[in-house]
Amino acid sequence: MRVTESARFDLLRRELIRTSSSLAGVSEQLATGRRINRSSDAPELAVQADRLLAEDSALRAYGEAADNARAWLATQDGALQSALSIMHRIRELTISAGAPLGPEAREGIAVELEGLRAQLVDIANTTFDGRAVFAGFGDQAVQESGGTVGFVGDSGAVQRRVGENRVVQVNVSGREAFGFDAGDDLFGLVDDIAGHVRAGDTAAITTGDLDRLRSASGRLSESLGAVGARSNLVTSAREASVSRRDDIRAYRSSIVDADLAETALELTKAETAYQSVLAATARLQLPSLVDYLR
Amino acid sequence: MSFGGLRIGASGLAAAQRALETAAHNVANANTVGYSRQRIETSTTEPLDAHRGLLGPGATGQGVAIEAITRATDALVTTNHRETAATLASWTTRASYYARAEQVLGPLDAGTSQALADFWNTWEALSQSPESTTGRDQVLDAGRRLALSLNDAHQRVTDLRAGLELDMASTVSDLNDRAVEVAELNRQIKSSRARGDVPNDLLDRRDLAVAELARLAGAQTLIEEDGDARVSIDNLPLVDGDRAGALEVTGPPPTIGWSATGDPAGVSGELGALVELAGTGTDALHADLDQIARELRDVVNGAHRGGFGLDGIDGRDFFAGGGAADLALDAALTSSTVAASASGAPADGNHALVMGGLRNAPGSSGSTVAELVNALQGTLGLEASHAANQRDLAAIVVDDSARLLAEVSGVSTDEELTEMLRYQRAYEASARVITVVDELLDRLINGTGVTR
Repeated sequence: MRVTESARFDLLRRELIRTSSSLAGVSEQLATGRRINRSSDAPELAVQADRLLAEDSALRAYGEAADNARAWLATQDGALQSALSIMHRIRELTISAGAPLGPEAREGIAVELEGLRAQLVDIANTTFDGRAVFAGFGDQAVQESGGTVGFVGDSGAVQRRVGENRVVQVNVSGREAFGFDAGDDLFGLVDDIAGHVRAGDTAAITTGDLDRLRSASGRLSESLGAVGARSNLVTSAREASVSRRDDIRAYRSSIVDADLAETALELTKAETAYQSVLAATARLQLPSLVDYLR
Repeated sequence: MSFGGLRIGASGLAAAQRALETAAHNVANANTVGYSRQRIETSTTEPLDAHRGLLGPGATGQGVAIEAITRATDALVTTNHRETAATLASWTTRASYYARAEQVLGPLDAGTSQALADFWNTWEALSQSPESTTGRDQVLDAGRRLALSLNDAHQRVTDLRAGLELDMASTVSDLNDRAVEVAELNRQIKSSRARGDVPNDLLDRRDLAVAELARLAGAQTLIEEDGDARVSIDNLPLVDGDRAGALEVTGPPPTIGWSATGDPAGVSGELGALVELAGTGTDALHADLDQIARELRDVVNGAHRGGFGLDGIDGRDFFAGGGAADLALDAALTSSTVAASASGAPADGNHALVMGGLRNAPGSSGSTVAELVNALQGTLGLEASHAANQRDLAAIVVDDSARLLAEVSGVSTDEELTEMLRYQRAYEASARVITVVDELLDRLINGTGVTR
């Protein structure tokens, strides 16, 4: 084979370009910490990584929705718990009013009952993030006018998407929880009891009122149960999305990110190759026939 | 004693001198692109057969004659190198185009597909606080950014196409210049040959110009019997003898045609790649982007019309525009008319949930918008990596054929120096011959008959 000087130079020039470009490639990986810096680095994997990123982003949104849903449900849970404990106190007062009492004692009980009713109104209008949680899409759940409390909300279902195919209703209807649906609302009931206590109508108190109180508490407990069940649903959806997100991130990282140790090793190899070519280029000034001709 | 010896010596001197000059020419052009090393070919002169007598039988040698100075080429190796270089040029053009094309949808992790995911997320967030102006503004903002990212992608493709058209124009003008050069060289070579000369350097230059034509347009070259190079593109002559044809850019869509007839020219090589990419390549890319834009518009508008704004009015569009170039938010859309409510109640965010759910809703093509974006990105990535691989492969083949070419035609200085030494000795020896003959003649002329 004939070897000419310019062919040797060309060969070294090509090798210099080749090794320095592979050095640049590995340096980029190490500098960015990523194996895939553009689609063409690994088309299939890059597209997959892109999909995983979009899924991760969706799961983040579902997670945020689940957090919001949990807060809504927790607010209702707290409100219903307080309402139940107030009901407990109302029941105690009602039972004590069932015994023959003096007018002052009856008046005292009636006043306390009215105070508790006011508390119940506040509870029914509990807000979260500026929204009355028992009001559906309304601004307020209950409103007192002319001495009676009426339901002014609606039956709108507040929903949250807590998973890809999981939309959960996060509000319970105030109309149902506070007995407006059943035609015997809590507030009217307490008004009735206070009236009966003032009037000393022990018969009405012991026969009807206690039963009505029991049903009212039962409706509150039912709503509380519904809130709890939804809360569990949201929590499990949230946990599922968190763990799915962890999986996706780990998988995506395994696709996209460069293994530091491995890349550092690759870099050393690329450097060595580049240096060898440099050394070979420097040594191309080998003796030529010219050196021996005088 | 005749003077033949002097003439023989002189012919040796002349041959050695020519050989030294040839070696010097080779060394001087060792790094000239396209140069083929030259060799002197010598032969004995016609022997003289007329005398008999004291000097014995005739047909004695009469010195050396310079037959020719040839260049070291191998037609097969040259043609092969020319063709591999044309393939490389085509793939290099493609690879550099796709390296830019794969970026039209923006960088990985921050491009259109991210803008799309962000857009759906703002709807999910809006569903949690449907009355909030911030939430509504964020939806508008994300929608605007998504539309902009498609507008940008469209613009990038348009820019790519403009760049390709510029490349085409300059390549065509380069090609036409080369065709004229080949025609001129054909003429010079023919007249030089008519004088009986061997125009090695002109032949080298013509080979180089012809190789350039092959690289630029995949032109085929045939050396005809009369020595002319006939260059043709897709079997139609570009250079015929000393006449050169010309190509021009026609269109749109940009194509290459013959200046003389206006017919399309079947170019390959670099021009072929440019024509393909500037035409069908960017068209397909524009069409894909338009499809994404239209699917997005239809899917989003279709659902958006079903929801109510804060003012309780439904039936409004979200996006407007007919393609990726002019996709934008609907001109009438404001923060309060973003449809988040399914019932008309302002506090109802359930329609925002429906909008967020479009993330996984297939459009008329059967794929979701994200899938379309993803598919386009994947295709571009594949094309880019394919073109880069092909380019690297073609480069290896070209390196190989260049090595073969250098092996046949390249100048090795060591070799040339050896030749110089050889002919330096030959020159000295011939000079010595002349000296000896001169001494003999001196003896004959001045010494004969002189006695001391």
